[in-house]
Amino acid sequence: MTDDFSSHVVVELGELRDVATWMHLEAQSLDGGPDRLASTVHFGHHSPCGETHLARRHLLSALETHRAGWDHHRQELEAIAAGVERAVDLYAASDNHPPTVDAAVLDPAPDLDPDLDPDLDPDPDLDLNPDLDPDR
Amino acid sequence: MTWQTAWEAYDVPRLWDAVHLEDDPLGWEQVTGLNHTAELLTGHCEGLCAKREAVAHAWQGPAATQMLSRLDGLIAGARAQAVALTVAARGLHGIMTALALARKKIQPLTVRWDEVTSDWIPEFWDEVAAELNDEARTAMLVAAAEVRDHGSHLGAPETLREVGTAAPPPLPGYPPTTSDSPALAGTPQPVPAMSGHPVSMLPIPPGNPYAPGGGAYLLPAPGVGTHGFIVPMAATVAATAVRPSIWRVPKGVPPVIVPVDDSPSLPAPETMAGFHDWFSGLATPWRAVSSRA
Repeated sequence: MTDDFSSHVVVELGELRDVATWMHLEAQSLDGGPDRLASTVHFGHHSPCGETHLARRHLLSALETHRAGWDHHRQELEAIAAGVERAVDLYAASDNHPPTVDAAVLDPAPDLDPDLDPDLDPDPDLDLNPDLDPDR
Repeated sequence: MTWQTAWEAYDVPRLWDAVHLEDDPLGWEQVTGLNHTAELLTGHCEGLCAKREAVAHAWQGPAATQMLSRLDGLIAGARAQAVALTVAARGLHGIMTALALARKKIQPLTVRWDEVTSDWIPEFWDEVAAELNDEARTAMLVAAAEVRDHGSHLGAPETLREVGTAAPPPLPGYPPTTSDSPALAGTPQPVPAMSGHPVSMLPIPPGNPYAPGGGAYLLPAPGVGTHGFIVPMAATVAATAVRPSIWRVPKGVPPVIVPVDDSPSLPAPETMAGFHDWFSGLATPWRAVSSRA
């Protein structure tokens, strides 16, 4: 596995930190979105029309889907921002071993450089890529 | 999948009840809200793209590649949702427009419906009422087709939420849906043609020569018969419909001159209010039920 990460790694910590900060602020600014997608329908309440009834159901379901998608997007953005911050912290603590840190960033239970302070990781459960096998 | 409404089961007053609350300002606000949300998300995507490039510039390596891949997925999902929101806003706008137009078409028909017995002699009441019904039903048919087209663009998932409606009852003896309609939750239920269920009827305001005290003309229908007939308003209410004419004379001799009044006598406001209450209770009792609910 070490061979996979022996390639050249370029990191500009300040710029990455700015990106993470922007992402956090952006996620906060998206907070009001679901309010605009309130799950109410304002047509056809008294209509016996089958098509209108179906359209009411379509709209209600679509609004709920959008609302859920919006929430998921915001949470994913927060998670990515946290992942970038974690990477910045790890790189900052180990300027001399970026490839090793790169492996650590990818692996939530990594073979960390023994010189690294384990307390640097504020959220050891935070997984940058949850699809990766944590036991590898 | 939904049912096909048999519009013959609905007359002008029932169709007016179905659409009179359309063109709701809150519905138009929802259209605007969806558009604004889509614009917000589009702008957000542009910002994300810029930051994605910043990450690509500031961070290169295997971990960066995975991070960029995750960002790409986030951006793609947000873009797709922004497009879906825009399309949904357009679909909702089309639905709102179609139903508002139906409302606009049917509203004057209700005015004409209420004036049929005043404007026409009884021989034409059935025919005029049928024409008004046809116009209102056509308006609903057109609106239904528009709603179907625009509703398909709302981008709903396969599993739909149930939603309640408070539609007026169909005319007694008429199936409210076509025979090939599926039996679904919310499908309008038929009303039997028997006493106690309001049939289609025209108001006959007090002062009308065919029902001076006011009444209702029951249109031909199942349970009514092939010919309509007049039901006079209750005598207690009708009694107040006569405008008194008092001639003062100095002595108890018969007046030489009788009062001449060419203008039609207008019923007193309280008489008309009583008539409207009586007619509403007879023709559209569900309105009182829904307003109490």
